[in-house]
Amino acid sequence: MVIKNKITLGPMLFNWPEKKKLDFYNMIADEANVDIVYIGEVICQKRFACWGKIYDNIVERLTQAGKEVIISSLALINTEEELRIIKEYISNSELTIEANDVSIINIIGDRKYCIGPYINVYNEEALNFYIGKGISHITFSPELPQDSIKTLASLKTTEYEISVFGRIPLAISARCAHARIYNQKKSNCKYVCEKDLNGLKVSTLDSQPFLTINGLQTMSYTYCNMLGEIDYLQKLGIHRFRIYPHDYDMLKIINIYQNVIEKKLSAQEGWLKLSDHMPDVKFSNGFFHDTSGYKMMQSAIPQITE
Amino acid sequence: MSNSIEIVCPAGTLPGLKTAVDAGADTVYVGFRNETNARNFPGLNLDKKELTEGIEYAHAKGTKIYVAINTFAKAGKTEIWKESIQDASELNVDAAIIADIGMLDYCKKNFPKLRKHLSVQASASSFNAINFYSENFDVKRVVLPRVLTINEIEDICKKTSVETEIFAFGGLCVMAEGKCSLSSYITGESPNTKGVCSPASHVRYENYDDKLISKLDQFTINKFENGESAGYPTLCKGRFKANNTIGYLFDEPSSLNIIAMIPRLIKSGVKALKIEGRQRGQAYVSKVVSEFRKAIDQASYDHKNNFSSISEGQQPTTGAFDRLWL
Repeated sequence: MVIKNKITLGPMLFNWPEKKKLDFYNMIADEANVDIVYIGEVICQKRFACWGKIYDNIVERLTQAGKEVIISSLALINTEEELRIIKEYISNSELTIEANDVSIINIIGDRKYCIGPYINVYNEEALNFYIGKGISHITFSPELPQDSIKTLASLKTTEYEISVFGRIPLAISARCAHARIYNQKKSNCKYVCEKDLNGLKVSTLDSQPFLTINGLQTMSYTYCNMLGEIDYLQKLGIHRFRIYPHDYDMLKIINIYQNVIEKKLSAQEGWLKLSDHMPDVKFSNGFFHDTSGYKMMQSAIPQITE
Repeated sequence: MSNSIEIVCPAGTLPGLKTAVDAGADTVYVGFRNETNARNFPGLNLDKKELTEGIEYAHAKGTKIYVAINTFAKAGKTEIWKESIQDASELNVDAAIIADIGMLDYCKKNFPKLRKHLSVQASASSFNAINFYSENFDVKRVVLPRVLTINEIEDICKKTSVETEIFAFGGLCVMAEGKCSLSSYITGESPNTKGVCSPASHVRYENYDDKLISKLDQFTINKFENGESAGYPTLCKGRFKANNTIGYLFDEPSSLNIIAMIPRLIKSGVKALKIEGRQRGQAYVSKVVSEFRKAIDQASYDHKNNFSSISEGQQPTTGAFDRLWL
């Protein structure tokens, strides 16, 4: 049996201005070679307002273009209001839901759903529990090392998805450091996070690039780059590869990954092309290799990395 | 019992456990000496023999013992977590504090009589999440995340029949617990995977230009002027730069203290107050427990205790409980 590789576009984690978001998803609908598009607000309840007018248009346009659309839930749910909004999104459509907080599992009902990277599934027992609940697939937490991925994938009991490109979500808080840095309060933040299309860089006092702030979320400074691991992941039976939207030429990036996934480009060639396109970016794959997540382990691409 | 709210107190060693019992804790929580608990520090925690003795000591004085088995079991290597759950059951601990859905499921299926509490690491931050854990795993109590405000805590207590336990004193996580891999991004080890945050094995202090620099891995977490007290470089509590701002961007190096809210918390229906710090010394535990014991028993606002000596010179705070950031 030939299993089809699927490229998925992860949810938009940044708060891009409305027009930019709309243009982006129109472009994805018309031109991008992705099978599945996750949309929805994952980071901050306040940003739901920024999706309001364009959300239905985007879903419609993507669906018409033949993409499977999945709604991603918030990654951290504290308040009644957050639950209420998510319930509304769930009941207003028949799309699959990506659960990113266990809070919503009981309200999903009979709807098709999958487990997103913010729900902790670190072992067979946890995965089997969710499989018993009837999930459609799981996207691994970015923190999972190779050994764990191998063990979970060997169960072959569901479909597995893994993030292969983009800044890595690391933490989420009820506090908004982004607003605070721009001297705003969370309650009246003026959506300042809109200014930083790839998040706001955090450096150490010695000016070492360190982390990225994206509203309530803290992300890696580095961009996850798993081009060198794709072949191995395919051998493990993983065929869903997630790429996160960033303010770069995403069509080009998707194209590079697609060619590596389909073996039309070697991982090394893919790396060179990606590095050429993003010369200012630091890549990492450390989590997969069971070391510091910011590190780029060179095993897969010895002749290219510094 | 003279009080209506339980004090749950940490112990990192057998003598520490006895100290906490003697100081008036209703309950002492401990971890096994392995990676199954979220304070997996060198020289800390109890083996099975010590725990047996500790339970005997505590139970003789009417004090309960909880065991934290609250890291996430590693795929293919879950035996050590399962053995810890079995040991907890055999030793008749009063509850196991668990975060991992896989281990909750295992515990429910194999040790249905072992009382299960939901660790803060499970990040159950809404009553819906709490009900999910209660319905699926028969969890009797939930340790609430430190991100919640007092109003949200009151609301949760109203909407669930599951007992609630909140952090009352000690370290403060600004990030949602159980959903944070900042530490493994920098050091390769995190609370979820190894039971550590910003581990000491990756910490270095350097002197440069009359300044003390604290580093985690290769990254500068803070710089201290001569005479400035230098805190531990927990990575979210460092000084950093972003945009034109320099300072504590994520969290001030403050610690949590909700002693002033005790009367309101008793009224709210919160079942237990948790003191953080299995890694702390016996003097700390003894002092904090006796102060909380006094405050609860008198349900008094008279909290003129000087905690500054035990919160490492840091400013006490009520943390997210009153939403200072809103």
